[in-house]
Amino acid sequence: MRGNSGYLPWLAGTVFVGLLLSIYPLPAHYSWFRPEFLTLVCIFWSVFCPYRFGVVMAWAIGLLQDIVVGGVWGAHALSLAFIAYLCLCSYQRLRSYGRGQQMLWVFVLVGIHEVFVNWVQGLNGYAAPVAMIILPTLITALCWPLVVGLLKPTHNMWQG
Amino acid sequence: MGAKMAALFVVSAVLVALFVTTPFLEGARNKAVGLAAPLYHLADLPRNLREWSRTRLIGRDKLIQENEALRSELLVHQRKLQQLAFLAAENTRLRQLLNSADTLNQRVLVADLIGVAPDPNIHKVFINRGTKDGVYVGQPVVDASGLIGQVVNVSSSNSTVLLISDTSHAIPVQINRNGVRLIAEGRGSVFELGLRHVSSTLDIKEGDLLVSSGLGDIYPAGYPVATVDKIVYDPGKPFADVVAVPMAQLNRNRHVLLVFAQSTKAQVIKVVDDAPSAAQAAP
Repeated sequence: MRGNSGYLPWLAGTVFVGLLLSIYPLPAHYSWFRPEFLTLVCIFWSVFCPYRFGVVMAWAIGLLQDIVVGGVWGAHALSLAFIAYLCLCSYQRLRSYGRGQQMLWVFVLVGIHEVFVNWVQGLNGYAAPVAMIILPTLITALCWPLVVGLLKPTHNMWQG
Repeated sequence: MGAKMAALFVVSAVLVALFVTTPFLEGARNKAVGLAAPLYHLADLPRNLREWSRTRLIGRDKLIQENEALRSELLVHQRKLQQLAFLAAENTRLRQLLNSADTLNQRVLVADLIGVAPDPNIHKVFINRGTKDGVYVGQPVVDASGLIGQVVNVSSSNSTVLLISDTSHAIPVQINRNGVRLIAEGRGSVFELGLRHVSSTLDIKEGDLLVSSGLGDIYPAGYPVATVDKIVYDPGKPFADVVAVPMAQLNRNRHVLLVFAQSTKAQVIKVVDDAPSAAQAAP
């Protein structure tokens, strides 16, 4: 059994990789297809490590993303905190689902996230067409098994 | 947890309101550009490596060939420059006759692109020059073929450039052929700009070159901005829908030029003060 903060390096590492993936340069035509890895990371930690991960942490991660990507500050922050809140309320049910069912649930969560971020960005004059909200949502949901498959096997190392 | 969530909601709402409606966070935003820069450098590493290998792992023959091609290109440009010096001198003389402001010999600084804003709605790029190099907010940025945009946030060694194709950006232009003044606004696509308030009787044709008009005190006059691509006259609407294609390669630049043109405004005001009658006589 490890100390209470054994999960912190893992959390920091996943957030760092998520941030890098969220700014990795893509050609103009493909930037609509970028999956929201940081949202998946937040969902993962709130579902599989709910006693350590909370809404404040999700908020801080979202703010970091806002600062790095140069959007409206507070957009990703609030939206990620809300997603984490929903996950923390329902993590027991979510864990018992199969991967396919989880993907559907993640699709809905990421959809809420995208609509929310888009709404706040809209206050600053940036609004995406509807199809461009659904597309990245779908791709993000399809990436969920990948994220879980990569992170879940390490849980012995951070679950203290 | 519910109370925490409610508190976060209030904090976020205040943050968003401050960000969107007031310039209160401007200082923090300028600092944030510097904080985010290392991440962009890191994300750009694979591309830099590719670029490095492309320039270093190249055959000698190819280098010689490229060198020769560049030399002949330089010769062509130098010939053009010879004429330019003559034309510039003539232009200055004519301007003096008209009693209007001299066009300044603008200083430029080369900057490298280190990143592009990941959100496809937001057309901003990050460059590796900051206040240390004298970059200022509102500074115009150009590439080899036209205007790119203006600097909106500056940290000590990095800055953010808002592209002319961003939906929050508009630039005063004029048609090079006849001098008609228009506003070109971004439409959220790097391949098109929209022209505002083009009445259906206006003399504008497909293929017309739009250059910056120098109004608005941000961009110096005379830089190519876009070419008119499509004009749609709809009798049911008060204005024609005109689409222009930016001259600059907004989505494939690695090097951009920062133009130092801040003193233009002061000089124009000085000249106008000196000769108020001449300035009033001009249309």
